[in-house]
This record gives sequence, C-alpha cells and structure tokens, in this order.
Amino acid sequence: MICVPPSNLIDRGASASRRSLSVLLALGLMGQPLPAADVPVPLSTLLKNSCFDCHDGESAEADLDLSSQAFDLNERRIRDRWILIHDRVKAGEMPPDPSALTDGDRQSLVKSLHDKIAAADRADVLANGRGPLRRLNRDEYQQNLRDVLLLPYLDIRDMLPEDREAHRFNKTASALDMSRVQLAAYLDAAEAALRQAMAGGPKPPPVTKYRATGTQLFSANNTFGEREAMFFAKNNKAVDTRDLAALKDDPALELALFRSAHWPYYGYPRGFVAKVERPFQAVTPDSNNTTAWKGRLTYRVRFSARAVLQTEGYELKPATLPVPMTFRARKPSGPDVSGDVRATGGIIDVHPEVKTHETTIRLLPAETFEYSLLGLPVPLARNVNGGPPTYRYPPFPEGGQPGIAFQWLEVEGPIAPESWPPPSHRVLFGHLGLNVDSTDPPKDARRLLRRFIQLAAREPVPEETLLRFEQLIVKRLEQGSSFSEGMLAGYKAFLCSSHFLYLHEPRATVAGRPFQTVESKYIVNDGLGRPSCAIASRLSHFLTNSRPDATLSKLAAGGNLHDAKTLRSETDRLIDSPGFDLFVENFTNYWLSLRHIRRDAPDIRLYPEYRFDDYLIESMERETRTFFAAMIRDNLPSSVLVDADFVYVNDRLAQHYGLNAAPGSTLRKVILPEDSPYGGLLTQAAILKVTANGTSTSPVIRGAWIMERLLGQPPPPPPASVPAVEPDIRGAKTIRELLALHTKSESCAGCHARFDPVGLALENFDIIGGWRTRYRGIEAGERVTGIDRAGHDFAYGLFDTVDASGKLLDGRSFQDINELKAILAANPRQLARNILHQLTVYATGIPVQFADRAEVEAILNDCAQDRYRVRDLLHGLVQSQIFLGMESSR
Amino acid sequence: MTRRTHNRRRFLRGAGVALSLPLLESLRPASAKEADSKAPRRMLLISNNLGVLPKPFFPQQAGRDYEFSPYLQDLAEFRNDFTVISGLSHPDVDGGHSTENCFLTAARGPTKSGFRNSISLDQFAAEQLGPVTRFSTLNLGVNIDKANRSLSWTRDGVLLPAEDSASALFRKMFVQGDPAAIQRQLRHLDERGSILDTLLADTHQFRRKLGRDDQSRLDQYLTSVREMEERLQTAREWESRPKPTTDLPAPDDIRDQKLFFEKFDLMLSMARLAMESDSSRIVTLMVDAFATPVFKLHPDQNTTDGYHNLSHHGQSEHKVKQLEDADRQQMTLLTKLFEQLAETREGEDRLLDRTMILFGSNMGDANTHNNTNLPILLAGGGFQHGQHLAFQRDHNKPLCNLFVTMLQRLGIETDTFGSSNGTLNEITA
Repeated sequence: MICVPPSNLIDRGASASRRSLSVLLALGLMGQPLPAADVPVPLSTLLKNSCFDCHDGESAEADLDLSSQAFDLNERRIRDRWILIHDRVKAGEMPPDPSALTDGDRQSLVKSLHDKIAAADRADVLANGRGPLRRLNRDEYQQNLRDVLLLPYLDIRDMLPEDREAHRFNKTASALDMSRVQLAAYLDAAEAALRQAMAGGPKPPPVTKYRATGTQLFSANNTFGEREAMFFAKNNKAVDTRDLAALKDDPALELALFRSAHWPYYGYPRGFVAKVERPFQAVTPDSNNTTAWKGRLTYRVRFSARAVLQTEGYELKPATLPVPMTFRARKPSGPDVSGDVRATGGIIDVHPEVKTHETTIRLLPAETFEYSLLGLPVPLARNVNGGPPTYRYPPFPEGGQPGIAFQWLEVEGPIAPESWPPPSHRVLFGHLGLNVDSTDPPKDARRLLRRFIQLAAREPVPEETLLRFEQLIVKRLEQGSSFSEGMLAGYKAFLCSSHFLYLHEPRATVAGRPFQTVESKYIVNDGLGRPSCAIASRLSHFLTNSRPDATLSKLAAGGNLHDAKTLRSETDRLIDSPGFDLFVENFTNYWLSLRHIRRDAPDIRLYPEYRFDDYLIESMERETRTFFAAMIRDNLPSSVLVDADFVYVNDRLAQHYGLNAAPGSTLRKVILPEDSPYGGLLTQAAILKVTANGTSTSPVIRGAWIMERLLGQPPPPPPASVPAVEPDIRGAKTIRELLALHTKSESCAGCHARFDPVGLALENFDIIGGWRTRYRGIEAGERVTGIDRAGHDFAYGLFDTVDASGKLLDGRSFQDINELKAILAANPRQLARNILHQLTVYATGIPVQFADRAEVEAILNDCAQDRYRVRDLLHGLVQSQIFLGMESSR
Repeated sequence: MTRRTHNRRRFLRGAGVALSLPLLESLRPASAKEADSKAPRRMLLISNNLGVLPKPFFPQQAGRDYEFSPYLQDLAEFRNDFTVISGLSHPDVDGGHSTENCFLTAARGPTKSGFRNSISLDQFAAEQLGPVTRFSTLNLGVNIDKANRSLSWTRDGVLLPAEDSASALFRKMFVQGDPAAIQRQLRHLDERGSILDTLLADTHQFRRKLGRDDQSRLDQYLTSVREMEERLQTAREWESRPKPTTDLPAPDDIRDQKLFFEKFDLMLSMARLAMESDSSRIVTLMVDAFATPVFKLHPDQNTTDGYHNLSHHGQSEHKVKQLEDADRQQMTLLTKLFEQLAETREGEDRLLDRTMILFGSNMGDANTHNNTNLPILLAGGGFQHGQHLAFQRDHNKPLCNLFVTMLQRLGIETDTFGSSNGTLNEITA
C-alpha cells in the first residue's frame, strides 16, 4: 500500500527511528499467532490482538514481524525498533484503523512499552554513558590550536578533510570518524601550526608601507565594461587615457568605479602584493607537498573615498546615498581568477562626503586585494556573431549611476606581534629566547613539556602519560635532533593524541565504581560524580566552538560547575563573549544549511534581476545569522521560528522585501507593516533560497525542509521508484497540476499531505525569497523584456497566478502564508521542542535519546509560562542531566 | 647546441627504451596484490587550457559510422583506439579562463567569492589506489604558470604545482637522489615513526580505562595509527630503494616558450616514460596555451599573435588558419604518442590498451569564452572505441560521468565523482 522499500525499516542508523516512523504509520498492527517468547504477557496479548493481522510471518508489512520480533531491550538495535512501535501507537497512527485498539488498550500498551524501554535505555546510559567519545571537528581543532598557541589568525582548517555530518550537524559523535588520512592531516596541521608559532627570525618581519595615488590606484587604465564601468577623473570629469601618463601622480586625480568585482576586472592597486620575509618550507613525506606558510598576513588599509553618481558624458556628481564596498583577497594574476577569492576587511559604507576609511585585511603571501563595490552592475562580454568580445553596461538609473571615487589608498603591514619573540613562541619555549638555547636539555624538556601540556590539555593529564611524551622528546634528542625540533616532536604528538583530539561525556559515578577516563585522582569531582572538566569542555565547545577559556577552566578545576548559579552565569558569559559568533555561524551553517547559501546561482533566464547580486546574497546570509543570534541574546519566544513582527534589514534587503529602511549596509531592526508576509525564520530570504534550486521552487522540497528543520517533524524519505516533481519552467503546467498528478494515488497523497501544504503556502516567494503573485516561465505567458543589471537583454513570460492556499493534515486550512504562520505559531511547544532537539545534538554530539525525553518535557514545562523563550531553553538544556551526564543511581 | 638537439632527438625518438623495472611485490598492499593478478591500469590526463577550434574537431555524425572531421583525420590509423565525445561539460563551471583549474575537479563557480577548488580526478584516483608506484601521481605542465595553474588539486582545494622541467622529472624517476636529501626525508619519516609509536602506546593505555562505546571509537584511532605506520614503512622503502634504470640520456630542458610543440612533445615523452617504467600510473599534463606567447608554428614561421590573442580570433581568417595549424600539430603529437604506446608491450597487451589517454579542455570555444560543449577525446585503456558519442549541445552531460567510468576502469569502486550523475558506460559495453 505504501511504496517504501522494506530495507528502510531495517536501517537502524541513529536516524532510523525518525525515518521509519511514517513507514510504520501506514501499517496495521494486528494478528493471530503468539508473539515472540520474550515479550512480556499483557503486552504480547495486546499486540497479538491488534497488530498481527498485518505484522506477522514472512509476509509481514514493512518487514516488521511482531511474532518473531525479539524483545531484548538491552540490545540497542532492538530497543530502537520498539521505540518506533511505541511512537506510532502513541501518536494514534497505528493501527491504521483507530478502532482496532480501544483507548484504554492503547494507553496500557503505550505505558507498558514506555516503562520497559525507558528502564532499559536508562540502564544503558548509566552503564555506558549517553554516547561515545567525540572527535574534534576541523573547526574546533583550529580554534583549539589558535587558543593554545595564541595565534588568533592561524589558518590550518583547510588542511583537514571536511567532516561528515549526521543529524544535520558536523558535531555528531557517530559521524566524526578517524582514518589514516585524517590522522596524517592532523599531524601535518599540528606541524604547520607549531612552525608558525615559532619566531621565524631575530626580529619581527619588517613592516612595509605602500601608498597609491593617481593611476597607481588601479592596475590598468581601464577595465572591462568600458568607461561606464571605470575611469580616472579630474575635476569631476573623466580624463582621456592618453592624457593619464602626464597626470599619473596628480593628487587631484580620482579613480571612479561603477561596477562590482567579477571576472574579468583587474581591479586592484598597482604594484602591491603581500609578502612574508621568511617563509618556512617543512619537508613532508610527499615531496610534492611542501607545507608553505599557512597563515594569512594582516595589513592595515586606509583610503580616502566618496560616493558619486556618474552622469552622461562621464561626469561625476555627489551621490545622495552611501555605496557599500569591501575588499576581495586574490592573486594579481591577470585576466583570470586563480585560486581563492575571499572578501576581507568587512563592509564599509562610503558616503557622499570625502572621508578617510580604515580597515584591516588578511592576505596570503603573494596575494593582493581588489576593490569590491557591492550591488553594482557587472558588465559582461558579448560576442556578436562569434566576433571579439564587446562589453555592455546597463542603462543608468535616473539621476545617474552610483559608484565610488577614490583619492588615495595606503597599505601597511604585515602587522607584527606586539612583542618579539611573539607570545606564541613563548608558549613553546618559555624564556629560552629566540634561539631556544638550552643549557640542560633533559631538564628543560621536562619542564617545558609539562608546561605546554598544562596549557593545551583540557583536563589534568596523569604522570604516566606525561612521561611517555617526555620519553619521545628524549629519544629524538638522543637521535640527534636539535632541542627545538625534539620539543616540537613531543608537542606535535600531544596535539594529535587522543587526549587532545577527543571530547568525552561528563559521566557519572556508576554503582560505587568511579567512572574513569584517566587516573581517578585527576578527575575533578563536582560532588555528584560528574567530572567538572568535561562539563566545561562541553559548554565551551557548544557556545564558542573552542576549549574553555581561563575563567571557565579555573572554575572547572575547582569543581564549581555543579553549582547551578555558577553554571548559569558562565553560560551567560559565553553567550556574551566574542566566541559566541562562532556558535551562531556554525549552528546556522548546519541547522539551516546557510553554508549552502551560494550553492545555486539564480537562473538568469527567469530571474535576470538577480544576476551577479552577491550583495543581496550576502545580506540575506547576515540577516538570518543576526536573527538567530538575537533569538538567544534577546531571549525571543520559540514562535519566532515561524513569525515575528520585525526583520533585520539593510538597504538591499529592504528593497528585496519591499520595505522602507535607512540607507547603508548595516542591518537594522525594522518593525513590519501589519500585512507583511515577512518576519520569522520561515520567510527569510536565506531560508527560501536554500530550499529552492535557483530555477524553480517546489512545495514538496520546501515543505519537507520546513517540517524537518523548523517544526521538528521530518517526513519519511521519498520512495525510490517515484520520480521527483519537477516544476515545468517552460510554463505549460502549473505546480498544482503536477502535484495532483504526482499524488494521484492514495498512498502518495497520504504522505504528501504532511508536508506539501506548508510548501504551498510559500509559493508566493520566488527562488530567492522575493514576493511574487505570478509564476515566470521561459516560453509561455505574457512577455516581459528589458536589459538586466549586467547589460544583457532578457525576456521571460508571466503566467499563472500563485495560489498559496492549502489544508493541513489535521484539517485546518489557510489562504496564504500569514494564515499558515498563525496556525504554526499557535503551537510554540512543538517549535521549542524542536529547538531543544537541535541544540541537544549540537551540544552533546548525540540526538535526544528515549531516556532523555522526560527531561526535554520537563524543560519545556519550565519554559511554558514565558512562551518558550530560546535563551531559557538553552539554559534549561545546559542545566539538565542530558548535558551534564546522568546522575548516579543513588 | 648541436649536441643538445641531438640529445633531444635521440630522447624523443624514444622507441626501444631499455628499462629495468624493479619488482616491488613486498610494497604492495594485500588488496593491490589481488588487483595485480589483473593488468595494471594507467591514465594520462591532458588539457590544453584554450582548447581547440570546435568546428574542425567535432565530427558531423554520431555513432560508429561517423565521418572523420579534419582534425580526427590525422588520427585515422587509430580509429578503433579512441572515442570522440561531444556535449560534455562541467555544470556551473563557467567564467571563461577561470575554469582551467577545474577541468579535473568540476568545482562549481570558480569566479565566485568564497570559491574553493576540490579534489582532482588524479588525486582522487591516487588516494584510492594507494602507494603502488613510487609516485602516486605525476603532474606535468607545458609553458605553465606554476603558481596559479594546475590540473591537480588536493582534497582541500590546494594547488599541487606542476613540474615543467623534463630533466627534473628524469632525475626524480631515474636518478638516485642525493644522500643528504634522502637522509633528510628519512629523518622526517623517522620522527613520524617515533610519534606514531608514542601515540600507539599512549592510546592503548588510555583505551583500557574506557567504556565499551568509547573503546570502539578509539579503535578507529588505533587502526589509523597502525595504518600510517605501515605506509611509513612503504615510504621508507621507496626512499631507500634503487630507481629503475634507462640507457636514455637525461633530457635537456627547453626553456624557450616559443618552442611550444617541442615542449609538448617532450612532456608527452616524460609521461610515456613514467608509464613504461611504472614510476607512476597516473599522470596529468596541463598545456598552458594561455601563458604561451608568440610561438614557432613552423621552423620558418612564427605566429602573428600570442596564443591567447589568437584564440580570440573573432572569425578573422588569418588567425583561424594559424589556430587550425597549431591544433593539427597537437593531433600529430597525440598520434605519435599512440604509436609508441601501441608498440610497447606489457605482458600480452599493448601498453596503449592499459593506458587511458584523455585529451580535452576547459574551453568549449575560447573565442567566446564558452565553457560548454568541451572537446573531449579518450584513447586507449581497452575501451570499446571507434565512435563519436554525441550528447545534447544545449543540455550537456556532466564530464564527470566520463571520469567515473575511467575511475572504474582503474579498478576503483565508486559510482560518483565531482558533479557526476551517472557513468558513460557507452564505451565499456
């Protein structure tokens, strides 16, 4: 009756219980023969009477044969299966005909199952902990090394393979595997980090100063897109390129730019590249792969500029609004873009008045930086009849084309550490100085190693272990290594050891036998048998993606974290710390897939207005991160996942959302008009973009995504044999027609009814979150033509009017997105439950277990009165047994 | 000068090379040993970053009975040893010349802010095959801008610089390293060995105190340490093992960028030597036409423009003519390579049948900076050749589908690579 292959049920991966949920939904639980021998009696009778009809013998539905299903709940896999059965029956989804089980019998079945599963699950957690050790992912590893070595800009993350994800996060214990490739990468990364921590010479690298004026401001006298895109100006008039040689140092010459950065461009100052004086070359086993300087160099950039308007005849007049810009780090390699291109230095709003701006940029050696004006056209090449490329600049807006005029620019750097040898060198070698002269190597090695491990380890390390690493250094020294090389070998080994690479569960004392990860005398006990250091590490990796800072470490060492008040104030302190930005970034990268925000470029055949609009995409990304940070910092109610009466917008986003807002790139909180469809995560442009593919929107995909990520009710996976619903972008068929076709069969419709409606309500939003009332098509419909922001002619068709109405599975119907929002916001508890589930996986590396459910409900109860505010939920989690480890069985 | 030319000629003639191949059975991991009962498979991946003129390259008809296009006419004698494929490209890999670093990676959006390259086909294959040869891959270049261009990229999107010096390659492959360098390398391997010993002992001790689930996580770590130690052993052995010998003279490097075809020829010879001596089974070769200035088209004729300017011919007749000439000379070099690989035997087989040769480009049409409908020619490797596979011009198939088929031919069990959405098994039937 339902087209899910039986193998889905056998899949008992960590996520299996959720995925298979709906499969069971469709199955009856009735039958005749006796249940498996080990199912306790009252339960077995109920199952037999109500379920065996379908779930019996070799032909059992969904491969669930209750007559032979084992009941050894101590076995995790078997337990997972019974959890699934429990959930389906409890939700009233099984048996499919509700009358097959009386309410009384249902309750008794559910209770009986619940108690037995909960007891078994709890016993397992007590014996083995909630979950296993978790490896640091590469972001955390980099952040740990930055903090240990006092190298805030260390950049070794990309030397490590990308981490796998499970339950949507890159912090899940089961997915953070180890391999020889992984370990070799850790060794290489640790080596690179340690080399960078060492002073490279007797003096800090010399600081160079560079100043560009006149024609030095740009690497060429013109750029692609002709003079509409760029020219040098004097007295507000373009200077003929033939006259430039004579004026090249004229301080009155201005560089006027009117295009965004894109290939091809040449948009960097003439003759500047970042340089490091003493790059090191580390020999690695693969001679192909010499480890070069991994760090970015810091430069201070000052420049003078004003926002201008270009008018007919290449003339300048002052702009009325600021123009935002940033810089992009890249190699100065000519017409091609080779290697990475990265925005750096943050967004700067350039105002109509001449002003000096200052920022700090980070470049790799041999890189330069190009001017990146945001939100301006990108003139592109056209090849008329296959001929040589010509460039076309789109028509100017009324009043003139905005741009920026630069008067001068200065670069100073690389900025050296404030002291020399740098603090990082002293982490490694204490007071042995630049040359690391040791008069007593064995003694110094002993002392320095202990000092380093104390700095690096997140909990006390037993003497036995210290000795082992010390022996390694001694051995290297005996074999002829220099003192510093020998020390580095020891440090490297520790930074790649299981002590450093893994985080463990803060586990309780079990039945009088203290749980040990290391010698018990080193465990700082908090009185309840919970190792305090592990709690501190969990908290800091949760909220700052790194190791505990000095304050937190000290509290942990003193065993003070069991005190609820202290734990709470530490949690608040971390939320207010700069490290919290790393939490916001990483959490939203995964929970909301923001790391994929640039994955699908808007299809310019249908959406020419979004061509090359990096500024819009960037603003969308910042909006969602800012909003999420506010959810916690401002303690907003859980309902803001679906609805809010405000948005964070800047000039570009305000335009996108059809709002009036202050000029400039800074995101500001704006109260929405009553009837606005925006407000809340659900209708943020970033969410609407990551749920579309750049060309079309699908209510199926958006609906399923929202159900899973925001509402915490993931739909089952699609059956393998059914083709996806592909919106017809020619415009011949409407999405409703296609969906109707797709869900013709009752079995398909049953499932789709769970998530399609939510997606349908979002049909008023285009592939990037813009409001639409009609669909666009390539061929059909009323023609719309024009010239887009890159100077290309475009033509698309407007056809059917969007119908965003729908009916939820429970029968409630809505006309549009605002009515749906009201329905969804009316269940803040489910939204809050979802937030807790997401935070639990992220913070502990383990999804919510059966034994945790009661705790989750208890936290929800505590937060109910205040409308489930998000910071309260977070505090609730941190204070819970889930986070702190199970209490001992006293 | 005469001696040099003589040497080069002798080197490039190449046939009848006497190589003594070292047998390295002990170095092969168990799985590779099994694979060795089957024939070793090799692959040479060549890209000219300005491509070729599409019109004289692609045949008009599809299928087995296609008529030769002007360019393919030059390869006539090998008709059944190659397949020409049209209608392939990398989805979302656009931006004109910026795509050159993505030819073997298919990483999307090379001109976008935040772009980072991904692992290239050769590196992926090398990872999978393990250390069966002294060099897991060789990455060669002609006139190449080494700092910025390469076909070969690590898993983290880091550029692996190409080698453009034939003499350096020759040294790597055939000349025993200088003792100091070997010593330095061995010392590094020693240090790593000591570190791994320490980690192994430390982890065993740590593990004993853990619960069941933790132990099983840590077992992964222990396995990793042990595997790394094994591989270290392999690396040490290669380092101290004699290299294959040859009676060929060491080649002289050609520094003059004008001698484009000679350089290309020389690098193809180096690639062939790597295959013949089993120094490596995976070789990439980027022909950096973009960085090639005015070059010698014939002994008495230079081109009128640099290669890049020529490629933007704008249908100008005299430019098109020169490009056609240059393209056809490259076809001739390929023919010569095929001939030599066909003449060389490895066991029962022609070396050609054990060596896949991909010739292609990231440019479908350099004149218009078009990155679709890439010119792709696959020769050798024992496939069912002799056809023109034509996919839709306005709806290209991912080039990575071909890459998957090639990986499978190497004996690698995978059904995806890069942006693939299937295979190109039309050539394996």
